Amino acid sequence: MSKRGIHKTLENGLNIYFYPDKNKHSVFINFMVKYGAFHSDFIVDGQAIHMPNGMAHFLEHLLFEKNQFGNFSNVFGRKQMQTNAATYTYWTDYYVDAVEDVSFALEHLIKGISIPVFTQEDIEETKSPIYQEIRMRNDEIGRTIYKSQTRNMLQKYPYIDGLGTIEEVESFTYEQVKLCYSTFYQPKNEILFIAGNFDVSDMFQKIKEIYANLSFAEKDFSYAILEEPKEVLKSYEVLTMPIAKDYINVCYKIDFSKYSRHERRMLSYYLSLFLKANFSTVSPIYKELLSKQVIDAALSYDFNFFNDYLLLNICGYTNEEETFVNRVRAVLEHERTFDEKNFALDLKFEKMVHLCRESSLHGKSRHFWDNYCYYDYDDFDTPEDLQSLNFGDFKVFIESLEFKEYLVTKITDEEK
Amino acid sequence: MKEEVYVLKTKAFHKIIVEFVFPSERIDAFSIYGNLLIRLLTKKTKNYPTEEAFSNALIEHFVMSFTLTKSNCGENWFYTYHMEIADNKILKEKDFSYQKTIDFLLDAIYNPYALEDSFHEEEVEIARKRLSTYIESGQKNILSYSSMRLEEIIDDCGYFNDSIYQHQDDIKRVSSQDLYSYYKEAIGSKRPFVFIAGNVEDSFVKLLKESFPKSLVAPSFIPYQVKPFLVRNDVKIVEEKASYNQSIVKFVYKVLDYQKEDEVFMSVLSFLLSSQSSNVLKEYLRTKEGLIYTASTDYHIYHGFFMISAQIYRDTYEKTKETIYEIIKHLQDVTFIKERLENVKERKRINLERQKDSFSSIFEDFKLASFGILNTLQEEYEVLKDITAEEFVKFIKRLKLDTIYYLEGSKDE
Repeated sequence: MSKRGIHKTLENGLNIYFYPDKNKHSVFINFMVKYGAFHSDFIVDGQAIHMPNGMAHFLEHLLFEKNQFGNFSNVFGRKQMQTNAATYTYWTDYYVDAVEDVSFALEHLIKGISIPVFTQEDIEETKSPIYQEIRMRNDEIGRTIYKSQTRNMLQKYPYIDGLGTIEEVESFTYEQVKLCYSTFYQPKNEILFIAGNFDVSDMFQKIKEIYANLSFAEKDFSYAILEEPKEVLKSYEVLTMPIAKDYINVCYKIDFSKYSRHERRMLSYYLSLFLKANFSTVSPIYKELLSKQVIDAALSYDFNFFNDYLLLNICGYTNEEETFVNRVRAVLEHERTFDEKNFALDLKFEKMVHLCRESSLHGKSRHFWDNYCYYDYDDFDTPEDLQSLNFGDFKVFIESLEFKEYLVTKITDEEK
Repeated sequence: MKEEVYVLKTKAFHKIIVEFVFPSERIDAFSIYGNLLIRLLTKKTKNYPTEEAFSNALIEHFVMSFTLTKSNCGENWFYTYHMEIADNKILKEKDFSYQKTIDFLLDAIYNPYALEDSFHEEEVEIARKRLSTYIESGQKNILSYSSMRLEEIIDDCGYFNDSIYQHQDDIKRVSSQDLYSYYKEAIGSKRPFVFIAGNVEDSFVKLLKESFPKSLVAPSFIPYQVKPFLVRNDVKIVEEKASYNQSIVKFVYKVLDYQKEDEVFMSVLSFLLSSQSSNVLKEYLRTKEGLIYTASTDYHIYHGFFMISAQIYRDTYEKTKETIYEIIKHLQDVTFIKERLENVKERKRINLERQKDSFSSIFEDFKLASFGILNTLQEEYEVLKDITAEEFVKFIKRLKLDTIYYLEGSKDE
């Protein structure tokens, strides 16, 4: 249960989270659907379905641009509201930020998404800008690395990236789109998150009234859980694009199945603190690689969860690929650094960041969704939540991680 | 500017923002110096001679962010130290001390990691490499490469001669001694203009004012005056190819007889074309024609030019050009403008409220207005709410198409 917000559930299964704040001047409404880029495989009415990559993202565009009120961008834009939508690994998010006429925002957002009116023609019209979005992303280093990772690290999941390819988007049919919409866009699979300056009981009453006039055909479905092996498909890939210096990404695949999603929430802090201690500008490897002129700028690092697997990345620009990869591997596999004083300082920093996030509606919302979708926790974290983190547990957890399966992706300039 | 210290009191956010702005005259020959400094000065100090020690000291002093940037402002470069400190009224840590944090920050700025009259050569060498990689990366990235090329193409007066892309060869020539001398001249011997925002008391402001070494010189800057580009008689068309998946087309319009008062029209035009209240570019290029995923506008109040940029597929170049011509034609029609202009005014009015929830937005507004560079959003709204569609169309008729730059992505799909 939410500790800091107010949680209500409608009879139709819709979960609503209210975070009122009288000091704000706007109201931020998020409509979230638990259907994301990763959900290519699912079971509906007992039938296993496989969709090409990019369907959740396509539906996001379609519902945003071709709903009964028109294009949300214009509908809310004309009312001086800010709006957008985005598709993440496990969810799709639509939002409106309104200073005035909040009821309009609420009603149009809910009805626009919940009463589909799209046609075959709408589907075809929606495709063209997405092709251009794909081309745009294909010119980005980060997206290129991400696709190499998913393609080569995950054996059973055919997920590559949220946009799909131009060919995949081209192939989407009206029937496929309709099936995905009717399966995932139903209140029991949706959440409303509302933060800002509003009255909770008034807002809840309005939501009830809106939903009283909507009807939904309930569909039973489940996301396919595929048996994913621990091994990676491929351990080395070279890709070309215009780039100043070779860019190397070392990605590890780590089995996290022994940890519940709830446990992963706190462990994710340990992972962040570990990466900072071992790969940031305070780490020994950074100093070493810099002094040996293997790198001349900071390393980047991050991690993602794909079901029960953690994919952890270390990357940087270098012309000394072998040394770079060997040193990164050595640190992760057997030279992990632990420093109690730095741990305490980094934790202090995390607490300060959390404190500041509390005063931002957008920051609060994004953190809420991360907790909700990745860690089954329906609240955002505050500095008090971090009190349970301690150096002893941190060390034991990090030492237990098995860094064995990895992929090296090299991006090099095609002119070389 | 009359004052050296400006304070914006607000309790809405859980941190305090402090910015020190050191204006320095824009001199082409010193372009690279500043770009090296920003890669050198925020990593270590004499008292904290390793990156680890300095990074830890920032946290120990409750400093969440400590960055140095260089930006162009008229005839000046602004070297800006941006610092964010946790608000201890919320954090409630016993060992927090404003005095210690102020002393630490001033020490970090005025006591950099250096020898008597030079930076350490190995540190400068790292900064040189970082800057070289940054420039080379920019030349390989479609967005920054196209912007760089456009600057070269439209700049008939040499206003962008201090671009780093034009001074790449200087990187190796700047010695550690020269760089240190430049630092002393631009930053190390001066007091900055100070901007403070957050839930701060007068005692904090007083403490900060009194903590600057007495020997420092008072800050000054060259007042902001517009310097419009020359307006050409013909349209310059430059078409190039490179190995990207997407293509980019940019239309540059210069304003005939440009004056500072036109700033508000530029802002309205930008809002009309690319804000959510009236996104004409999206309406025509994406919804009607399916040509783009995104298009944007940019304008330069100092040099008086306006730019439309669209990321497209190579097959649609001609159609995109036609559509942009059509859009500009529509902008000269009072009936087309009327409702849209009212929408922009409404958007600007609402933004005055929305802005109160964004710390970075109110801070930037406050800072730029203090410098007299831009009007505050409130001041801008007061001017634009009285603008008529006829007046706006009159401005549009002063726009002269100057350049079309097209970078074709030639990569096969």
